[in-house]
Amino acid sequence: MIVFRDVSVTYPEQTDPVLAHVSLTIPDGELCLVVGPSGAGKTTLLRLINGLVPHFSGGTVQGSVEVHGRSTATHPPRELADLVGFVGQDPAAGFVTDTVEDELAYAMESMGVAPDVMRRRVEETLDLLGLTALRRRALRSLSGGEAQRVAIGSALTTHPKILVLDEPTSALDPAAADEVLASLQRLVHDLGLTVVLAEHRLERVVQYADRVILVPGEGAPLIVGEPATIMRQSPVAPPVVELARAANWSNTPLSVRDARRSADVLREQLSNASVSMDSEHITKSNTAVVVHVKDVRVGYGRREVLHSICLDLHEGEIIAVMGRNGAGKSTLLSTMVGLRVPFRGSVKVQGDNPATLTPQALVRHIGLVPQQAGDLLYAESVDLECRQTDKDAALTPGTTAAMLSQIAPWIKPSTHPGDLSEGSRLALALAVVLAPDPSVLLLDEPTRGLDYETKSHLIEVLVKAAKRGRTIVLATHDVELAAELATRTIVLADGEVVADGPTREIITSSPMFAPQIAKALSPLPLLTVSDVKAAMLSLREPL
Amino acid sequence: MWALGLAAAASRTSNPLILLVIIAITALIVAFRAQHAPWARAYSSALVLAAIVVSIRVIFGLLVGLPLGTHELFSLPQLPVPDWAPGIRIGGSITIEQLLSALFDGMRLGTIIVCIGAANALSSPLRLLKSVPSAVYELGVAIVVAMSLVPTLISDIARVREARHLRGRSISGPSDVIGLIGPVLDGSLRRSLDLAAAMDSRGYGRTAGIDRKIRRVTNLLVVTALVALVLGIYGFLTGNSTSWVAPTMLIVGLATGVGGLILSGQRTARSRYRPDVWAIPEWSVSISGWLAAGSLWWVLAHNASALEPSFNPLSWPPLPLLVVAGLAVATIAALMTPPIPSDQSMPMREESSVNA
Repeated sequence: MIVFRDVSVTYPEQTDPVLAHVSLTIPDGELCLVVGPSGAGKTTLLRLINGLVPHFSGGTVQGSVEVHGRSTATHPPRELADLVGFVGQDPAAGFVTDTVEDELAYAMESMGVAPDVMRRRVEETLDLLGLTALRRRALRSLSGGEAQRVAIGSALTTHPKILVLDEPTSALDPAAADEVLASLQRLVHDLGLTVVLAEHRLERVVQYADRVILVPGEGAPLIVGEPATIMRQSPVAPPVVELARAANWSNTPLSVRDARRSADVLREQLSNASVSMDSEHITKSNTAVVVHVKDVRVGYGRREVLHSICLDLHEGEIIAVMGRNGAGKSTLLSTMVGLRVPFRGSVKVQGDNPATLTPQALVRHIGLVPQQAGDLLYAESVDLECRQTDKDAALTPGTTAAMLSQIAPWIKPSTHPGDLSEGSRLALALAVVLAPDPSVLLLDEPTRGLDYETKSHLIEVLVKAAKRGRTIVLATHDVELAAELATRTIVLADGEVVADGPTREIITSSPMFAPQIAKALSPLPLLTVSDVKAAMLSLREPL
Repeated sequence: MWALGLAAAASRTSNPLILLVIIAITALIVAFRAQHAPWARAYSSALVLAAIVVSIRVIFGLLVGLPLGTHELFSLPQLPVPDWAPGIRIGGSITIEQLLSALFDGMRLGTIIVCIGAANALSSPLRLLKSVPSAVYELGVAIVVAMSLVPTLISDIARVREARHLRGRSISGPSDVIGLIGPVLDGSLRRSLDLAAAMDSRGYGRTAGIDRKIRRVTNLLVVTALVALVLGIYGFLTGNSTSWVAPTMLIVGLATGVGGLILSGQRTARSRYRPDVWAIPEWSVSISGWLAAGSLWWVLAHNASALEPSFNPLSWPPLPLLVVAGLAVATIAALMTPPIPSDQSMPMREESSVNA
């Protein structure tokens, strides 16, 4: 049982509280979903539960937070560790040991769990999260999604009463996310675990939630309620809910299954509609080749990650690179930009080898936003960061700031990049790379931690860039993003290209990568809500 | 442990031949045994660091130092030094003796660094923690986290460089490299805060369920033991303090230390996951390392001149047989013992996961 009594949080050197007068009770055994725009205070709310706010953040907290009768004012996080397991936004930052197995055991060691019990729980957790093959791997060699699963596992081994997760599935591929969420749900059902999680990818989580807490931001009061009720009025909603709104259904479906069952009539109607939006998703194989990847083998040390990749990327294409965690997506992108030198084969960007280009020429040719987007930022403030970019790339002053205000207008120029929320930091990094307008743009997980609004701004910017003839490559797990944006999809598995073709074809043919609308309305070839709206419109016109 | 023995050996000599032999041995062992893990790169970074240390020592030895020897190489303009600092001189004539003494002295420090680098490369410092008694565990974690800062800093610099490259800035001059320091330090500070938060939320430093009095007594004992031990060892090594101080301090330190360990062994707040088995191979390897150190000590006690190369007159340093024998034992023991189990399974596991 978690009780918030009139809690307000104000961080140092800020006048407005992040959260104001929050009163909230989360009963035992509930799966509670925290949603809201980037930077609204979701992370602060989560960190209040195990006392990281204020013990590690500074700032003033008014009111009280009680967890199973222990007040976080008098109990620092370590004294709550037996009750609350916590997994932060960047799992790799929280690793203490250096191999997977030790990491799983670490919290139990601190807790003084008997050795034979520890041994058993480590094995159980390895099975539960599918980590058996990774058990002896060094933590630093794990891919983003693998690290996320290890972090969740290491919070679970102590059998806490409450599990707090900040964006647990944003770095996971759809299948791994489903697995993690299913195992969370099993823990909630079987052990009465209380789970509080923040997540932007509502389409993945909302169907499992017992309750939704909407954090509107800027100190506005929280809205708490049943998932269906909240989703009906929420500004952020998963595609199935949007579908229900577009089709004027009386109920609000939360899962694909609900939507399928309500969609019989709609499916009937739309099957008569002439679905001809393929005209805008034309494959651009007739335009010039911008990136030429020829027989590239690349890896780390002796381990080969990509085996003999051959790809031609054309002008004006938006390409989604999808695939399991650890399939080699990030490696492919960093090879294209010249950060990794292939063992064999060659990469040509507009005829040049990117590894030999000077950095000044490189930013004009090809830009990469890495997964750890914060790495790109090093100035003292957002404003300085923008001006630095203008100077480095010899742009007219103000270009980067203008780009930033297109993607995320709410970011204050005086903030230190390190103090931004994860999503806002990503938005800033995107602006910094987009500003010099490179002919090829590589984005590694560009929607991680972004709310729906920022995401739609980003989509707009990218579509415009593609219309100007820029080539865009997205390595992503976000099938909804791929469905909405990409003209071509490449699926990587185990370092090889296993599928390459028009997005519509690829993602409807695989249940793993199919977006919600495609699942709900299959066999119709509709991928997004806007597809459905267009189809409905075309139905009405003849009448 | 083995590498620490070699480091101890190195600290007692400035004979360049012995130092070179020690470095060669660590290189051999690392080449045979190093794992394909992130920390395995520690050895090469230690070599680089050692080279930097040696060159700094040489430069300072040449520019600032006591005049020594008669074989002049070349001379630099000498700066006038105020009267209150007699015996110090800046610039002036440079002699071979000076050069060599600075070089050998720097090499001593360099070899110690290489030995510690080898220790890092052969096994993760966290494994050492598993053999640390629980009274000093928390202190140990702090030290290990601090030690692991160096490799993380190195990979951080690489990451920031890559990021700069992507932002269209080239890193060429020294001023650009200095510009890297800010973001790297900033990043590592932020990360250590994150790490502290993560460790804390996972129960590091929990005190619940332990009697407060016992906790205080243990802490007091441990601190006293450490202070006494440090004083005692210092007294022994320098030989300056009066004869009774060092042994007494050592005895007091050991007594309080053992008391603290026994007391802390009773508290049940921590447990260990799969503790390392300390069996015959482990013992033989660490003993052989210390045997090398011991042989040096013995030679030092009986024939000190063999270990300090003479500069006056200049002569080729001798290579004492006993020391070489001690080092040889260390090498053979380290090579003969079976590798640690995880050494073997690591590459195999990786391959199988790639194939799967």
